[in-house]
Amino acid sequence: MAHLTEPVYAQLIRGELPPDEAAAWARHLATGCDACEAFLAARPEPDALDARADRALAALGPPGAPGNDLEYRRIEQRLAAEARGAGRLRLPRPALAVAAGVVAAGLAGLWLASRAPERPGRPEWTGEKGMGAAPAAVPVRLRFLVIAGGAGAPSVEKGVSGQAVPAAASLQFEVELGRAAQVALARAAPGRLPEVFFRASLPAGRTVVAVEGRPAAYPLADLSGPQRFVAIASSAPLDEAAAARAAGQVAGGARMEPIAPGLEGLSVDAVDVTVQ
Amino acid sequence: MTAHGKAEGGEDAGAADAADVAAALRGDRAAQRALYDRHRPAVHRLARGFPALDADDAEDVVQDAFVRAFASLARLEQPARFGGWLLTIARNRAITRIARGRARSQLAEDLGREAEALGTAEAEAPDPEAGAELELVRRVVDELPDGPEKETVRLFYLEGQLTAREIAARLGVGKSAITMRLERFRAKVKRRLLAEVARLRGEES
Repeated sequence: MAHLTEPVYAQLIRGELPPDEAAAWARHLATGCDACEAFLAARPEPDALDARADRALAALGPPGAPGNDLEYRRIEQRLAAEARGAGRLRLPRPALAVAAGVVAAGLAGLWLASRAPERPGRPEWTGEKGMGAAPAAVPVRLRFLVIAGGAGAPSVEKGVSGQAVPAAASLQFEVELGRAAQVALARAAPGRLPEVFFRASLPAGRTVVAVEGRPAAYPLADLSGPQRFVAIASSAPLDEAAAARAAGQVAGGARMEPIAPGLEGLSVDAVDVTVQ
Repeated sequence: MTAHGKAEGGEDAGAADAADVAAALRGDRAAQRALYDRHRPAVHRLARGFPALDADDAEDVVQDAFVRAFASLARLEQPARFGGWLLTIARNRAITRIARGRARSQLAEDLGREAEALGTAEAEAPDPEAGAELELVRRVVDELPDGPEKETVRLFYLEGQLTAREIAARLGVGKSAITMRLERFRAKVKRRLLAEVARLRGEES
Protein backbone atom coordinates (compact mmCIF):
# COMPACT_ATOMS: atom_id res chain seq x y z
CA MET A 1 0.00 0.00 0.00
CA ALA A 2 1.19 3.50 -0.79
CA HIS A 3 1.64 6.12 1.91
CA LEU A 4 -0.22 9.31 2.69
CA THR A 5 0.24 12.23 0.36
CA GLU A 6 -1.45 15.62 0.51
CA PRO A 7 -4.03 14.78 -2.19
CA VAL A 8 -4.89 11.44 -0.55
CA TYR A 9 -5.11 13.07 2.88
CA ALA A 10 -7.47 15.73 1.58
CA GLN A 11 -9.63 13.13 -0.19
CA LEU A 12 -9.80 11.04 2.95
CA ILE A 13 -10.82 13.97 5.12
CA ARG A 14 -13.42 15.21 2.63
CA GLY A 15 -14.88 11.76 2.03
CA GLU A 16 -13.97 11.70 -1.65
CA LEU A 17 -12.53 8.18 -1.63
CA PRO A 18 -14.73 5.19 -2.39
CA PRO A 19 -15.69 3.37 0.82
CA ASP A 20 -13.51 0.32 0.09
CA GLU A 21 -10.46 2.56 -0.42
CA ALA A 22 -11.22 4.46 2.75
CA ALA A 23 -11.53 1.16 4.63
CA ALA A 24 -8.16 0.04 3.22
CA TRP A 25 -6.58 3.27 4.46
CA ALA A 26 -8.19 2.69 7.83
CA ARG A 27 -6.52 -0.71 8.10
CA HIS A 28 -3.17 0.67 6.93
CA LEU A 29 -3.18 3.58 9.36
CA ALA A 30 -4.41 1.53 12.31
CA THR A 31 -1.57 -0.94 12.15
CA GLY A 32 1.17 1.66 12.19
CA CYS A 33 3.15 3.28 9.42
CA ASP A 34 6.24 5.41 10.07
CA ALA A 35 6.02 7.10 6.67
CA CYS A 36 2.41 8.14 7.21
CA GLU A 37 3.24 9.36 10.70
CA ALA A 38 6.11 11.40 9.34
CA PHE A 39 3.76 12.91 6.77
CA LEU A 40 1.25 13.88 9.47
CA ALA A 41 3.97 15.33 11.69
CA ALA A 42 5.40 17.40 8.86
CA ARG A 43 2.17 19.02 7.66
CA PRO A 44 2.81 22.73 8.14
CA GLU A 45 -0.67 24.04 8.88
CA PRO A 46 -2.68 22.77 11.85
CA ASP A 47 -6.10 21.59 10.76
CA ALA A 48 -9.17 19.81 12.05
CA LEU A 49 -7.22 16.62 12.73
CA ASP A 50 -4.87 18.60 14.96
CA ALA A 51 -7.92 20.02 16.71
CA ARG A 52 -9.18 16.55 17.52
CA ALA A 53 -5.78 15.38 18.63
CA ASP A 54 -5.38 18.37 20.92
CA ARG A 55 -8.89 17.98 22.25
CA ALA A 56 -8.31 14.36 23.16
CA LEU A 57 -4.85 15.07 24.59
CA ALA A 58 -6.23 17.90 26.70
CA ALA A 59 -8.56 15.42 28.35
CA LEU A 60 -5.77 12.95 29.17
CA GLY A 61 -4.44 14.36 32.39
CA PRO A 62 -5.38 16.99 34.94
CA PRO A 63 -6.84 20.22 33.57
CA GLY A 64 -4.56 23.14 32.87
CA ALA A 65 -4.57 26.38 34.80
CA PRO A 66 -8.02 27.98 35.01
CA GLY A 67 -8.73 31.41 33.64
CA ASN A 68 -8.70 34.58 35.67
CA ASP A 69 -10.43 37.92 35.67
CA LEU A 70 -7.34 39.88 34.67
CA GLU A 71 -6.66 37.80 31.62
CA TYR A 72 -10.31 37.80 30.59
CA ARG A 73 -10.42 41.56 30.94
CA ARG A 74 -7.43 41.87 28.59
CA ILE A 75 -9.24 39.69 26.06
CA GLU A 76 -12.34 41.85 26.30
CA GLN A 77 -10.30 45.02 25.92
CA ARG A 78 -8.63 43.73 22.78
CA LEU A 79 -11.96 42.67 21.32
CA ALA A 80 -13.39 46.10 22.08
CA ALA A 81 -10.41 47.76 20.41
CA GLU A 82 -10.92 45.60 17.32
CA ALA A 83 -14.61 46.36 17.27
CA ARG A 84 -13.82 50.09 17.39
CA GLY A 85 -11.85 49.61 14.20
CA ALA A 86 -8.34 49.25 15.55
CA GLY A 87 -8.46 45.90 13.77
CA ARG A 88 -5.08 44.70 14.82
CA LEU A 89 -3.60 42.39 17.32
CA ARG A 90 -1.34 43.77 19.97
CA LEU A 91 0.62 46.55 18.31
CA PRO A 92 4.33 46.99 18.25
CA ARG A 93 5.52 49.08 21.13
CA PRO A 94 5.47 52.79 20.39
CA ALA A 95 8.79 54.53 20.14
CA LEU A 96 10.30 54.70 23.58
CA ALA A 97 11.78 57.92 24.78
CA VAL A 98 13.56 58.04 28.02
CA ALA A 99 13.26 61.01 30.32
CA ALA A 100 16.36 63.13 30.58
CA GLY A 101 18.09 62.61 33.85
CA VAL A 102 17.12 58.95 33.96
CA VAL A 103 18.77 57.49 30.86
CA ALA A 104 19.40 59.50 27.74
CA ALA A 105 18.73 57.26 24.79
CA GLY A 106 16.48 57.34 21.77
CA LEU A 107 14.77 54.06 21.03
CA ALA A 108 12.56 53.18 18.12
CA GLY A 109 9.74 50.78 17.49
CA LEU A 110 9.47 47.12 18.33
CA TRP A 111 11.38 45.39 21.05
CA LEU A 112 13.57 42.68 19.70
CA ALA A 113 12.42 39.11 19.40
CA SER A 114 15.59 37.81 20.98
CA ARG A 115 15.51 37.47 24.72
CA ALA A 116 17.90 36.46 27.42
CA PRO A 117 17.65 32.76 28.19
CA GLU A 118 14.91 32.04 30.66
CA ARG A 119 16.12 31.35 34.13
CA PRO A 120 14.27 30.08 37.14
CA GLY A 121 14.00 32.26 40.13
CA ARG A 122 10.56 33.72 40.37
CA PRO A 123 9.58 33.30 43.96
CA GLU A 124 6.63 31.13 44.72
CA TRP A 125 3.46 32.81 45.90
CA THR A 126 0.81 31.15 47.92
CA GLY A 127 -1.81 33.21 46.12
CA GLU A 128 -2.52 33.73 42.47
CA LYS A 129 0.16 35.81 40.77
CA GLY A 130 -0.46 39.48 41.37
CA MET A 131 -3.33 38.91 43.78
CA GLY A 132 -3.20 40.42 47.19
CA ALA A 133 -4.09 39.62 50.72
CA ALA A 134 -7.75 40.54 50.46
CA PRO A 135 -10.54 39.53 48.10
CA ALA A 136 -10.84 43.13 46.91
CA ALA A 137 -7.13 43.45 46.12
CA VAL A 138 -6.39 44.93 42.72
CA PRO A 139 -4.94 42.43 40.25
CA VAL A 140 -1.50 43.72 39.28
CA ARG A 141 1.22 42.47 37.01
CA LEU A 142 4.71 43.89 36.49
CA ARG A 143 6.68 43.47 33.26
CA PHE A 144 9.89 45.00 32.06
CA LEU A 145 12.10 45.63 29.06
CA VAL A 146 15.88 45.65 29.22
CA ILE A 147 17.30 48.66 27.43
CA ALA A 148 20.98 48.46 26.65
CA GLY A 149 23.54 49.60 24.19
CA GLY A 150 23.51 53.35 24.74
CA ALA A 151 22.23 56.14 22.53
CA GLY A 152 24.24 55.08 19.50
CA ALA A 153 22.92 51.55 19.01
CA PRO A 154 20.26 50.86 21.60
CA SER A 155 18.77 47.42 22.03
CA VAL A 156 15.46 46.61 23.61
CA GLU A 157 14.66 43.14 24.84
CA LYS A 158 11.77 41.70 26.72
CA GLY A 159 12.83 41.07 30.29
CA VAL A 160 12.45 37.67 31.90
CA SER A 161 12.38 37.51 35.66
CA GLY A 162 15.51 35.91 37.00
CA GLN A 163 17.75 36.96 34.16
CA ALA A 164 21.16 38.55 34.43
CA VAL A 165 21.42 42.09 33.09
CA PRO A 166 24.45 44.28 32.50
CA ALA A 167 25.03 47.19 34.84
CA ALA A 168 25.05 49.48 31.82
CA ALA A 169 21.43 48.63 31.06
CA SER A 170 18.20 50.21 32.22
CA LEU A 171 14.84 48.65 32.94
CA GLN A 172 11.64 50.01 31.45
CA PHE A 173 8.65 48.92 33.50
CA GLU A 174 5.07 48.32 32.50
CA VAL A 175 2.30 47.86 35.04
CA GLU A 176 -0.94 46.13 34.24
CA LEU A 177 -3.93 46.56 36.51
CA GLY A 178 -7.27 44.85 36.70
CA ARG A 179 -8.77 48.20 37.65
CA ALA A 180 -7.59 51.73 38.36
CA ALA A 181 -5.44 51.87 41.47
CA GLN A 182 -2.68 53.58 43.37
CA VAL A 183 0.61 52.01 42.38
CA ALA A 184 4.10 52.18 43.75
CA LEU A 185 7.26 50.63 42.40
CA ALA A 186 10.07 49.78 44.72
CA ARG A 187 13.50 48.22 44.44
CA ALA A 188 14.46 45.74 47.11
CA ALA A 189 17.94 44.29 47.48
CA PRO A 190 19.12 41.83 50.11
CA GLY A 191 20.08 43.54 53.34
CA ARG A 192 18.93 46.98 52.23
CA LEU A 193 15.90 49.08 52.91
CA PRO A 194 13.46 49.11 50.00
CA GLU A 195 13.63 52.14 47.75
CA VAL A 196 10.28 53.42 46.48
CA PHE A 197 11.06 55.14 43.18
CA PHE A 198 7.68 55.61 41.61
CA ARG A 199 4.17 56.34 42.88
CA ALA A 200 1.16 57.26 40.79
CA SER A 201 -2.50 56.73 40.20
CA LEU A 202 -2.80 54.47 37.18
CA PRO A 203 -5.77 53.43 35.07
CA ALA A 204 -6.88 49.88 34.43
CA GLY A 205 -4.96 48.11 31.72
CA ARG A 206 -1.32 48.43 30.73
CA THR A 207 0.68 51.54 31.55
CA VAL A 208 4.29 52.16 30.73
CA VAL A 209 5.99 53.83 33.68
CA ALA A 210 6.56 57.44 32.78
CA VAL A 211 8.09 60.55 34.28
CA GLU A 212 6.60 63.88 33.27
CA GLY A 213 4.66 62.11 30.58
CA ARG A 214 7.65 60.42 29.02
CA PRO A 215 8.47 56.70 29.40
CA ALA A 216 11.26 56.33 31.87
CA ALA A 217 13.75 53.60 32.56
CA TYR A 218 15.47 52.69 35.81
CA PRO A 219 19.26 52.78 35.45
CA LEU A 220 21.25 49.90 36.90
CA ALA A 221 24.62 51.65 36.72
CA ASP A 222 25.29 51.83 40.45
CA LEU A 223 23.89 48.43 41.30
CA SER A 224 25.23 44.91 41.45
CA GLY A 225 23.95 41.49 42.39
CA PRO A 226 20.34 40.40 42.88
CA GLN A 227 17.69 43.09 42.71
CA ARG A 228 13.95 42.68 43.13
CA PHE A 229 11.55 45.20 41.66
CA VAL A 230 8.15 45.18 43.25
CA ALA A 231 4.87 46.66 42.07
CA ILE A 232 2.43 47.40 44.88
CA ALA A 233 -1.17 48.20 44.04
CA SER A 234 -3.90 49.50 46.30
CA SER A 235 -7.44 50.65 45.78
CA ALA A 236 -6.93 53.01 48.75
CA PRO A 237 -4.37 55.83 49.04
CA LEU A 238 -0.88 54.39 49.19
CA ASP A 239 1.86 56.38 50.89
CA GLU A 240 5.56 55.79 50.50
CA ALA A 241 5.93 54.22 53.90
CA ALA A 242 3.21 51.65 53.25
CA ALA A 243 4.70 50.85 49.87
CA ALA A 244 8.15 50.41 51.39
CA ARG A 245 6.74 48.11 54.09
CA ALA A 246 5.01 46.00 51.46
CA ALA A 247 8.15 45.83 49.34
CA GLY A 248 10.12 44.88 52.43
CA GLN A 249 7.73 41.99 53.06
CA VAL A 250 8.55 40.45 49.71
CA ALA A 251 12.17 41.50 49.48
CA GLY A 252 13.60 38.29 50.77
CA GLY A 253 11.49 35.99 48.68
CA ALA A 254 8.99 35.66 51.50
CA ARG A 255 5.89 33.76 50.63
CA MET A 256 2.83 35.94 50.49
CA GLU A 257 0.42 34.43 52.94
CA PRO A 258 -3.26 35.11 52.61
CA ILE A 259 -3.13 37.58 55.49
CA ALA A 260 0.37 38.96 55.64
CA PRO A 261 1.22 41.78 58.00
CA GLY A 262 1.71 44.97 56.09
CA LEU A 263 -0.05 43.63 53.01
CA GLU A 264 -3.68 43.93 54.01
CA GLY A 265 -5.63 45.30 51.07
CA LEU A 266 -2.54 45.46 48.89
CA SER A 267 -1.49 43.32 46.00
CA VAL A 268 2.04 42.85 44.75
CA ASP A 269 3.95 41.46 41.85
CA ALA A 270 7.71 41.27 41.56
CA VAL A 271 10.44 40.63 39.01
CA ASP A 272 14.03 39.69 39.78
CA VAL A 273 17.24 40.51 37.97
CA THR A 274 20.89 39.98 38.75
CA VAL A 275 23.00 42.98 37.84
CA GLN A 276 26.42 42.00 36.55
CA MET B 1 -27.96 21.48 29.63
CA THR B 2 -28.35 25.19 30.04
CA ALA B 3 -25.95 27.71 28.67
CA HIS B 4 -23.08 28.83 30.92
CA GLY B 5 -23.11 25.55 32.81
CA LYS B 6 -20.09 23.35 33.27
CA ALA B 7 -20.23 20.33 31.08
CA GLU B 8 -18.82 16.88 31.66
CA GLY B 9 -18.19 14.50 28.81
CA GLY B 10 -17.85 15.08 25.12
CA GLU B 11 -21.47 15.35 24.05
CA ASP B 12 -22.51 17.53 26.99
CA ALA B 13 -19.51 19.80 26.42
CA GLY B 14 -20.39 20.13 22.76
CA ALA B 15 -23.98 20.98 23.56
CA ALA B 16 -22.90 23.54 26.14
CA ASP B 17 -20.50 25.08 23.64
CA ALA B 18 -23.17 25.25 20.98
CA ALA B 19 -25.56 26.97 23.38
CA ASP B 20 -22.94 29.42 24.60
CA VAL B 21 -21.67 30.23 21.11
CA ALA B 22 -25.21 31.02 20.00
CA ALA B 23 -25.77 33.17 23.07
CA ALA B 24 -22.42 34.94 22.69
CA LEU B 25 -23.28 35.81 19.11
CA ARG B 26 -26.44 37.44 20.45
CA GLY B 27 -24.29 39.57 22.73
CA ASP B 28 -24.53 37.49 25.90
CA ARG B 29 -21.30 38.34 27.72
CA ALA B 30 -21.81 35.70 30.35
CA ALA B 31 -21.90 33.08 27.61
CA GLN B 32 -18.62 34.33 26.18
CA ARG B 33 -17.08 34.20 29.63
CA ALA B 34 -18.38 30.65 30.06
CA LEU B 35 -16.62 29.61 26.86
CA TYR B 36 -13.42 31.16 28.16
CA ASP B 37 -13.69 29.47 31.57
CA ARG B 38 -14.49 26.09 30.05
CA HIS B 39 -11.67 26.02 27.52
CA ARG B 40 -8.90 28.12 28.99
CA PRO B 41 -7.25 25.20 30.81
CA ALA B 42 -6.88 23.18 27.62
CA VAL B 43 -5.60 26.15 25.62
CA HIS B 44 -3.06 27.01 28.30
CA ARG B 45 -1.93 23.42 28.44
CA LEU B 46 -1.43 23.38 24.69
CA ALA B 47 0.64 26.55 24.82
CA ARG B 48 2.82 25.08 27.58
CA GLY B 49 3.67 22.22 25.26
CA PHE B 50 5.96 24.42 23.16
CA PRO B 51 9.37 24.60 24.82
CA ALA B 52 10.29 27.59 22.67
CA LEU B 53 7.65 29.67 24.47
CA ASP B 54 8.33 31.07 27.91
CA ALA B 55 5.56 31.56 30.47
CA ASP B 56 4.68 35.04 29.21
CA ASP B 57 4.59 33.85 25.61
CA ALA B 58 2.30 30.98 26.57
CA GLU B 59 -0.10 33.39 28.25
CA ASP B 60 0.03 35.65 25.20
CA VAL B 61 -0.83 32.67 23.00
CA VAL B 62 -3.81 31.95 25.23
CA GLN B 63 -5.07 35.50 24.96
CA ASP B 64 -4.41 35.71 21.22
CA ALA B 65 -6.32 32.49 20.64
CA PHE B 66 -9.39 33.67 22.53
CA VAL B 67 -9.34 37.08 20.87
CA ARG B 68 -9.16 35.46 17.44
CA ALA B 69 -11.83 32.92 18.26
CA PHE B 70 -14.30 35.41 19.74
CA ALA B 71 -13.69 37.88 16.92
CA SER B 72 -14.37 35.15 14.34
CA LEU B 73 -17.15 33.35 16.18
CA ALA B 74 -19.71 34.01 13.46
CA ARG B 75 -17.60 31.98 11.01
CA LEU B 76 -17.73 28.81 13.08
CA GLU B 77 -20.04 26.52 11.17
CA GLN B 78 -20.41 23.89 13.87
CA PRO B 79 -20.64 25.63 17.24
CA ALA B 80 -20.49 22.32 19.07
CA ARG B 81 -16.89 22.03 17.88
CA PHE B 82 -15.82 25.33 19.39
CA GLY B 83 -13.27 23.59 21.62
CA GLY B 84 -11.35 21.87 18.86
CA TRP B 85 -11.51 24.96 16.66
CA LEU B 86 -10.12 27.08 19.46
CA LEU B 87 -7.26 24.66 20.07
CA THR B 88 -6.27 24.79 16.41
CA ILE B 89 -6.28 28.57 16.50
CA ALA B 90 -4.09 28.38 19.61
CA ARG B 91 -1.70 25.98 17.90
CA ASN B 92 -1.46 28.32 14.93
CA ARG B 93 -0.79 31.25 17.20
CA ALA B 94 1.94 29.37 19.03
CA ILE B 95 3.64 28.32 15.82
CA THR B 96 3.41 31.85 14.46
CA ARG B 97 4.81 33.36 17.62
CA ILE B 98 7.75 31.00 17.48
CA ALA B 99 8.39 32.03 13.91
CA ARG B 100 7.96 35.67 14.77
CA GLY B 101 10.20 36.96 12.04
CA ARG B 102 7.17 37.42 9.86
CA ALA B 103 5.86 40.95 9.30
CA ARG B 104 2.94 41.82 11.53
CA SER B 105 0.78 42.91 8.67
CA GLN B 106 1.20 39.56 7.04
CA LEU B 107 0.48 37.98 10.38
CA ALA B 108 -2.80 39.78 10.77
CA GLU B 109 -3.79 38.86 7.24
CA ASP B 110 -2.86 35.23 7.70
CA LEU B 111 -4.75 34.99 10.95
CA GLY B 112 -7.86 36.31 9.30
CA ARG B 113 -7.60 33.64 6.64
CA GLU B 114 -6.78 31.01 9.24
CA ALA B 115 -9.88 31.58 11.32
CA GLU B 116 -12.05 31.58 8.21
CA ALA B 117 -10.52 28.38 6.88
CA LEU B 118 -10.80 26.62 10.19
CA GLY B 119 -14.41 27.55 10.61
CA THR B 120 -15.28 25.64 7.47
CA ALA B 121 -12.68 22.87 7.67
CA GLU B 122 -14.23 21.57 10.86
CA ALA B 123 -17.35 20.64 8.94
CA GLU B 124 -15.62 18.32 6.51
CA ALA B 125 -14.59 15.22 8.41
CA PRO B 126 -16.81 12.95 10.46
CA ASP B 127 -16.35 13.49 14.16
CA PRO B 128 -15.79 10.40 16.26
CA GLU B 129 -17.32 10.78 19.68
CA ALA B 130 -15.02 12.65 22.06
CA GLY B 131 -15.08 9.81 24.59
CA ALA B 132 -14.01 7.32 21.95
CA GLU B 133 -11.18 9.64 20.92
CA LEU B 134 -9.94 9.86 24.50
CA GLU B 135 -10.00 6.09 24.79
CA LEU B 136 -8.05 5.80 21.58
CA VAL B 137 -5.40 8.23 22.82
CA ARG B 138 -5.07 6.28 26.08
CA ARG B 139 -4.41 3.14 24.03
CA VAL B 140 -1.71 4.96 22.07
CA VAL B 141 -0.04 5.93 25.34
CA ASP B 142 -0.26 2.39 26.72
CA GLU B 143 1.25 0.96 23.54
CA LEU B 144 4.31 3.21 23.66
CA PRO B 145 7.46 1.27 24.48
CA ASP B 146 9.19 2.27 27.70
CA GLY B 147 11.73 4.96 26.98
CA PRO B 148 12.29 8.70 26.65
CA GLU B 149 9.21 9.38 24.53
CA LYS B 150 6.88 7.59 26.92
CA GLU B 151 8.45 9.33 29.91
CA THR B 152 8.03 12.73 28.26
CA VAL B 153 4.42 11.95 27.36
CA ARG B 154 3.74 10.75 30.88
CA LEU B 155 5.18 13.91 32.44
CA PHE B 156 3.48 16.34 30.10
CA TYR B 157 0.11 14.79 29.41
CA LEU B 158 -0.62 12.35 32.21
CA GLU B 159 0.89 14.15 35.17
CA GLY B 160 0.39 17.54 33.56
CA GLN B 161 2.22 19.56 36.19
CA LEU B 162 5.27 20.61 34.19
CA THR B 163 5.67 22.71 31.07
CA ALA B 164 7.65 21.31 28.17
CA ARG B 165 10.51 23.61 29.18
CA GLU B 166 10.49 22.30 32.70
CA ILE B 167 10.47 18.72 31.44
CA ALA B 168 13.54 19.45 29.33
CA ALA B 169 15.30 20.78 32.41
CA ARG B 170 14.26 17.84 34.56
CA LEU B 171 15.30 15.22 32.03
CA GLY B 172 18.51 17.07 31.22
CA VAL B 173 17.85 17.29 27.50
CA GLY B 174 17.48 20.15 25.09
CA LYS B 175 14.15 21.79 24.38
CA SER B 176 14.27 20.56 20.79
CA ALA B 177 14.46 16.97 22.01
CA ILE B 178 11.27 17.45 24.02
CA THR B 179 9.60 19.12 21.06
CA MET B 180 10.52 16.16 18.87
CA ARG B 181 9.20 13.61 21.36
CA LEU B 182 5.91 15.39 21.86
CA GLU B 183 5.44 15.96 18.14
CA ARG B 184 6.23 12.31 17.40
CA PHE B 185 3.64 11.25 19.93
CA ARG B 186 1.08 13.68 18.48
CA ALA B 187 1.76 12.25 15.03
CA LYS B 188 0.93 8.77 16.38
CA VAL B 189 -2.29 10.12 17.85
CA LYS B 190 -3.19 11.84 14.60
CA ARG B 191 -2.49 8.68 12.62
CA ARG B 192 -4.86 6.69 14.82
CA LEU B 193 -7.51 9.39 14.70
CA LEU B 194 -7.19 9.53 10.91
CA ALA B 195 -7.59 5.76 10.83
CA GLU B 196 -10.85 6.22 12.71
CA VAL B 197 -11.98 8.91 10.26
CA ALA B 198 -11.11 6.53 7.40
CA ARG B 199 -13.02 3.71 9.07
CA LEU B 200 -16.12 5.88 9.36
CA ARG B 201 -15.72 6.92 5.74
CA GLY B 202 -15.42 3.27 4.81
CA GLU B 203 -18.74 2.56 6.46
CA GLU B 204 -20.54 5.28 4.52
CA SER B 205 -22.52 3.94 1.59
